[in-house]
Amino acid sequence: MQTQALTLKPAEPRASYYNIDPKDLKMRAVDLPGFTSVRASELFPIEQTPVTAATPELMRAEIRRRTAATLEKIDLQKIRPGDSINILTSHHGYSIYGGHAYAEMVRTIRDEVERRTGATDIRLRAGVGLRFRETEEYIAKFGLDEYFHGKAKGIAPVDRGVPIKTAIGTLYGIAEAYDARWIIHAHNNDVRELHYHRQMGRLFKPFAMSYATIETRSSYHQSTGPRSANLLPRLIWESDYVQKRFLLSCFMQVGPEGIMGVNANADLIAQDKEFTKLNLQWYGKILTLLGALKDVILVIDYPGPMPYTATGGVLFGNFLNANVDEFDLRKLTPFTRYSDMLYPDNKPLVEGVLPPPNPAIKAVILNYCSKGYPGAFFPKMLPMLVVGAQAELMENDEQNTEFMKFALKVDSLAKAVSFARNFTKSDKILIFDGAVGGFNVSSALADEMRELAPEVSARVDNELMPMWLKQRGIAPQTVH
Amino acid sequence: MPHVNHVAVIDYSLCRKCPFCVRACPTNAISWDNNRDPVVVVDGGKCLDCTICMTRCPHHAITMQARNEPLPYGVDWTLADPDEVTRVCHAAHMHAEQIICYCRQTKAREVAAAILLGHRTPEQLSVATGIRTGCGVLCITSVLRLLKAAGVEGLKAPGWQWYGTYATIWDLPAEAFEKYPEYFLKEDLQAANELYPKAD
Repeated sequence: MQTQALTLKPAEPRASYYNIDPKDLKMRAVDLPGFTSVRASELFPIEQTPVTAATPELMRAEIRRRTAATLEKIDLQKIRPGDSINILTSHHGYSIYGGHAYAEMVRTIRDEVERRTGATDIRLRAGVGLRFRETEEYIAKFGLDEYFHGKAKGIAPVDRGVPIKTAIGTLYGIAEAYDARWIIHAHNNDVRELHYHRQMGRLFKPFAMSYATIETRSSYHQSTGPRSANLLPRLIWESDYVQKRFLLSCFMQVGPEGIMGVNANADLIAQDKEFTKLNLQWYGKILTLLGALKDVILVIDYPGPMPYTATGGVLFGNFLNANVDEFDLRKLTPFTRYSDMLYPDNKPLVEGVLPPPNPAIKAVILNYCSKGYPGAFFPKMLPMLVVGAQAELMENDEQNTEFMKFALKVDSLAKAVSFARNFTKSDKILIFDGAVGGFNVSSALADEMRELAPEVSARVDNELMPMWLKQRGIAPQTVH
Repeated sequence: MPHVNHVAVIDYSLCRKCPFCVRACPTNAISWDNNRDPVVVVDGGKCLDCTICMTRCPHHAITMQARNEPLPYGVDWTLADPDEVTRVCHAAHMHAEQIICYCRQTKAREVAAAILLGHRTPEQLSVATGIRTGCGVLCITSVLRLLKAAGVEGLKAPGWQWYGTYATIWDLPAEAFEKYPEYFLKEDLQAANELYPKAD
């Protein structure tokens, strides 16, 4: 398949238990006629520049150099040569822009700890979302078990738990996440599931997710509230149990333009505040622009679960909620697991409290995504066309037993797009295909994005950014 | 009636008789007995095709295979006293029609009815209603809240599946509200009281 020159390269298909066979992916959306791209930098220039290199090898070398440099600032003298260290990682990082940068950051953390401390019992623990084989697949893909001398392991929320006493009672972590003298939290900052973390303690979230067992994760998603749930990971991290082990955190910095760098810190609270500023700067305008678009057809074409399918550094889940300013903490957002519970059909049990899913979405075409994320909410609420073999995958997804009852199967992507154009009367199409640094879109949508960008930029600068910062206790003058 | 078409099958040439699948199964469909041959056995009548055992088996010894006949599951909630079903749901701060298992689309009233009809543990409720047999993660606190609301006490946590302690917005200590105002606890408690019922 030849990708047109005006478009950005989509993410490669992924051979996985959770995806259709790559040979069954008959067409990528970007190969349909009439598509072009819009770069994030042309819409909203930022001061920082993404990490770039001429070849994948040079890119990995640059990530290694930056990881070693940022770790150099951290005191590792606490580690004795005989100590054990768990490097805690999460599935998302291994999926961002192909995962190579995150994998290299993780390898470098290992090497630097060994080089500077003499410790050799360094383990990799790779947490998952709801697809329990996923990080094992990444460990194999990136050769991490060999790299960690047989000490790399996927961990899942149904594994043995360990009690962690917090300020609100006992919660549970995954025992194998914490079975070392020290832990290093190796994660990524991207805005991702903004509808859950709301950029309030975003860097803490894995402590109640990837590193936690089912009750703690369920407490987060079903029992403690769509904003206040974010207190749980903070309290787990603050617990004596975790503090005795916590050494440092090392984050791959990600923005709409790509990989932005690597940042390590021994103070996660300070680091979270810094990344809050950066994420508001890097993602605020893009997300506000998405919220200003009207009458859009979305094509999902990415080897990840539906809400995490990405383009230009943002997700389908972000667009689903883009009719509400998700950075505004006063507001509830359309899709969270709390709202999902309240839609047994296509209207909520309680009216007038929850905003609807983004009404700008006129149709969704599901060409390619992973199974293993409960998503019946999406076809219940949005006109959904599912293409070819992908429909069979969804029909047999144990986490989506009702999904295809609300969706229409179409045998080809071209037919689905043509049909969607006809019934929506729209020619504005946005593809979530993993494009890096921008968006693959129809020409009509490209025009609209460029036209709206200046007004959005001014509104964010003058009105929204000061409010977002104030809500988070950050002085505007500290942001450049 | 919903049904499943697959069942977990163990390849005994790969099985190392570790208890991982036994501990991970939400329906107690897999048992382990060292005095039996084979040691690890799947009860097809309880297996609801969640695939958790398959995707967590360290030895890749489990596959999901097509059943000869579909296995139906689900509880007709109207078989229980409707007023009691509503009372239990409300005591757990849930609407009777509320979805609590996103994977199987199980409603609170189905689980409440199953409890009232005699299914008294999370595992029994999973077999009866299908709840917790998709992702196996997100809905456990709703199950535990409904059991508590129905007055089921003294549950013995089986270990890895659940431990019996969790947090809810209604039970957070007052100190947390005071110490962490930036996490919007007060606002979410107010929203929860608007979105979900209070105990009757």
